[in-house]
Amino acid sequence: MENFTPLASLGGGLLIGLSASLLLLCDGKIAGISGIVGGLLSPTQNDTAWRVLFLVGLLTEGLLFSLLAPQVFAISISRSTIALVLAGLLVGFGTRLGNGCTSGHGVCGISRFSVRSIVATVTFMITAIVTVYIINHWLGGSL
Amino acid sequence: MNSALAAFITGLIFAVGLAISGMTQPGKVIAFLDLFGNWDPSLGDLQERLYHLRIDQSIP
Repeated sequence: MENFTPLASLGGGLLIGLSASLLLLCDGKIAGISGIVGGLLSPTQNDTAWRVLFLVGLLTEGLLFSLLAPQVFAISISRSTIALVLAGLLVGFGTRLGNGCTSGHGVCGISRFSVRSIVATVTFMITAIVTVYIINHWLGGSL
Repeated sequence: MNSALAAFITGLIFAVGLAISGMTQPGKVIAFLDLFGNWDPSLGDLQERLYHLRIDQSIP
């Protein structure tokens, strides 16, 4: 537990909760990142601008962090390109199949007691824990 | 708040939250999921926090 950072997590969690709450209150939208991106792939009228603006905000801040505090994006794990591509495809497929990801189901769904979101979150958390166990303790921590 | 401005600002805040909590670092996320290794429970604190930070149910 040498890297335990409860205060940073608390601060980050509060900000993410604030962001999700504001988007719901002001725009009536769910701050589910995969859903926001997915909606752009089949655009409908009057439902595109907020998605683009949310993502521009997200990426603008990411760009600022990469310029001013690059340690935010420090990568400390070793994975092959093939593993990363495969992981990305699986995440994309799974989030569409389950109608949401960690932000949509884990943050927005659980906080409004959506049973579907609770089931989805428990499912992907258990799957992730099992996957990490297999990779870290059976396969030696790299792929 | 203007709806377009709200979308942009919530995007900004969301990114700051991800960065501060360490979720932009894959190693941090994997350490949280590694319950049976050298477990880093930080992000659970975050999920717990989010759970308690319940928002009004005003879904249209």
